[in-house]
Amino acid sequence: MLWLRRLQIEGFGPFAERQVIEFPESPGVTVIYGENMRGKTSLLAAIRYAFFGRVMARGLRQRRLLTVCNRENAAQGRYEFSVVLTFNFDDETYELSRSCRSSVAVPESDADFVQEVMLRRDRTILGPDERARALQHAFPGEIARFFLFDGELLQEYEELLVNESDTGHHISEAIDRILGVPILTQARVHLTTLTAEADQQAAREAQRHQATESLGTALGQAVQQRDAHKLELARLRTQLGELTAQRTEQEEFLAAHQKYSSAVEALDDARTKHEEIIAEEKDKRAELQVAMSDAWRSLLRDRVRAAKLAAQTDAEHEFESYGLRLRAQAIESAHCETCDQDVPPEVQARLRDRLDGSRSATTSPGSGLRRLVDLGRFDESDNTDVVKLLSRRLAEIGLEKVRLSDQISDLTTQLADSDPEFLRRSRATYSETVDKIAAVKRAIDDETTKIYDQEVNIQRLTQKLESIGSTALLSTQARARLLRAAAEVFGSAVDKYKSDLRLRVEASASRLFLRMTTERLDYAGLSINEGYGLTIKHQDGAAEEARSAGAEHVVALALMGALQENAPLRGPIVMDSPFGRLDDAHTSNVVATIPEMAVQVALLVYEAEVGKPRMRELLGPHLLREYELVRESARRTTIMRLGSSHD
Amino acid sequence: MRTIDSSELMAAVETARLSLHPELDAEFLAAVVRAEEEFAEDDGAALKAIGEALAATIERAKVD
Amino acid sequence: MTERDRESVGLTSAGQRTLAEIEARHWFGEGQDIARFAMSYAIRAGVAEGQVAGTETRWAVGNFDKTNEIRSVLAALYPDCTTPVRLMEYLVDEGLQMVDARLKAGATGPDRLMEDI
Repeated sequence: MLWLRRLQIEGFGPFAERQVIEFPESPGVTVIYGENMRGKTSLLAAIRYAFFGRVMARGLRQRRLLTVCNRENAAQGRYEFSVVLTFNFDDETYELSRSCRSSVAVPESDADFVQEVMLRRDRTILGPDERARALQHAFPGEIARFFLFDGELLQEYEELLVNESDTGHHISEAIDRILGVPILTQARVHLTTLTAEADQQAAREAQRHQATESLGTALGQAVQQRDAHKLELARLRTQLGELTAQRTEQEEFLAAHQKYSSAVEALDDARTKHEEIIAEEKDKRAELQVAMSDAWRSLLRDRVRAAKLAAQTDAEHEFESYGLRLRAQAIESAHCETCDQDVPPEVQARLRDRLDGSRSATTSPGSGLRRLVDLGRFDESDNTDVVKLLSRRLAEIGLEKVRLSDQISDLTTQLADSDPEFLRRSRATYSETVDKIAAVKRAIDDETTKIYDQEVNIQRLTQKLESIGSTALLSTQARARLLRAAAEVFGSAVDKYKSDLRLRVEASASRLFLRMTTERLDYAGLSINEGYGLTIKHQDGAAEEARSAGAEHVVALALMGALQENAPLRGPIVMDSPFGRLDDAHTSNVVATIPEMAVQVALLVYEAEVGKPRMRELLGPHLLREYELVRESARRTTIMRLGSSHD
Repeated sequence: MRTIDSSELMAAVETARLSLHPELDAEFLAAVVRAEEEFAEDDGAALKAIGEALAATIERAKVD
Repeated sequence: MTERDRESVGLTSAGQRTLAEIEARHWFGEGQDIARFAMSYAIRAGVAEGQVAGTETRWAVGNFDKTNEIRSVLAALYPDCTTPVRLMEYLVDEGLQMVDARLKAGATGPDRLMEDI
């Protein structure tokens, strides 16, 4: 187990002069108080720098070395800093020294600095390879986050609680790492590799003897094919990893440019619609023009109909007048021209009486008929409705065109600062990446099936060989069999171990959560899923769906403590202002629970979070030592040990 | 030598061994775990250590 | 003496301007369509027989009245007219003035022009 003993820091951040923190040698908590900008984060950064040679800024970016140098020293032309960390690991004492100094009078970039590192184990200075191995053993970089963390890293924990996020997936892998799962998974991988070699050796051995030559050849080919598929599978998995990383990057880019990305999509959509509507307008206009070429008839239809009626009436009158004229002639001449008969006097008299009482012809002979004939030539078709429909649609199109033009103009302005073409390509690339991932996954499934089929074939051939093989062959086969069996055992052990571990992590996290939450009566604990995501459970068994930021915070702290408890690798926890979003009640609960989370804890806080009297009360005998970061000037901090703890 | 607590790991391996291949030498599996802990970042060294453990196991089996 | 009829339909300069403005709206495919429409517009409005001077020839009557319908309708509606082509020209001119006024009064589409006045 890793145990911090002493931290010496000089020229680093606000620590202009050499400052030292001595950690207690017994289990408990060291609290370091400091207001903002006094150097709490720098202390955490210094420990990370000692182990990993990097100083990280917010957002996990690496800081420029010039910015790490104390500014008061820098103003005097001294650009250098150093950290010396003394720690125990596996019953041995190590002293890790890392320093950085400028090689020029006024450095401008990292290239102007020279860094040195030395690791002493007891009295021996380790060489570079041994130093790297020792540090990797004591404190692997991939799991450092579980020991040294601040609010930002708690945020990463909280990502884990949002299932399916890529950050959550990375954290989940890191948790597997800290819980020792890779020991089993790597064992399975190595044993499988050795099994493949043993299979090949058995095949070669079989080919040496006549009795087993053909079987040996078949086995050799089967092994080769299986190994080729395994290579291909490994390549595909690597490719999948790369594509997944690419997709994540692309998703992050698109998310960061969501505003622009949405605007580009909207712009393309608007332009397409604009083109479509212009095409429709052209068609409708053509239809309207055809309709309007006949519209003059529609305008006259009613007039013509009325005129026809009038002409009809006139024609009837004319016909009647004609009849009357014939009668008048018959009266005058006493002879009917129509039937060519003489008209007797009494008939004449009757006709005269009728003629006097009737109307006289008012139109010129034949004009009504003529008008009827003329009007009959007119085509009475009416396309008023067609014109109305087309006109209205064109009016709608006109409005739509204006709306789309305005939209296009607005969006073009919005995108003035971006590169829409680049965004389009990014979206297209993202789609391609998604398609490629699907194809690679299908290929992986395919290769997995082929490998399985070959394994079955190899088993079959191996069993055949065992029944007829030589001593040497049996020996190589026994080796392969043993290795294969061992690989299976480790494969099964991974699942069992992870499943048991998850249950233990769940139990520990639940216990810690219930200690820290203020809702002990309502909540039963936490439940864990395969990716180490945690859900708060109510007493009635229901999951708490809507969680506040504070609740997420407490759950993340509970998970961190549970991992500490259950990990094969143990170490100190150094926490920088871990109470960010917690109210007073939760803060008190968390502080009181901290001693349970790890054997050695260093807590970096500012007094507004938890004042000294309250801290002392809450931690009780677990509080072993206190320090204060004292402001000497805006650019200089000293570390002062306080005398009222239990150490 | 590392002193991380790998008893839980070993317990999971032992359970799997008893369930799947009780004929397997438990000492060999323990040696594999130790090799993986010792050479966590070195595939070559881990493979070599496992190979040596295997040879020792086969030798033991012959003697037995 | 009977006045001699024309053989073509023409437009005054004002009529040509109005026609051009209507053409610019793309409701009609040809100028003749506009002219026929304007003529019908005037007839529907009850414009009496008349003549217009100062026109510049645009269309031969054989093109303007391919089916002879116009001549027939004018003969029926204006039975006293002996110069149907001059009448056509007059009605076109009157109709263009009326359509122009209607458009200036806010008629937004051909359907509006076709509604009852």
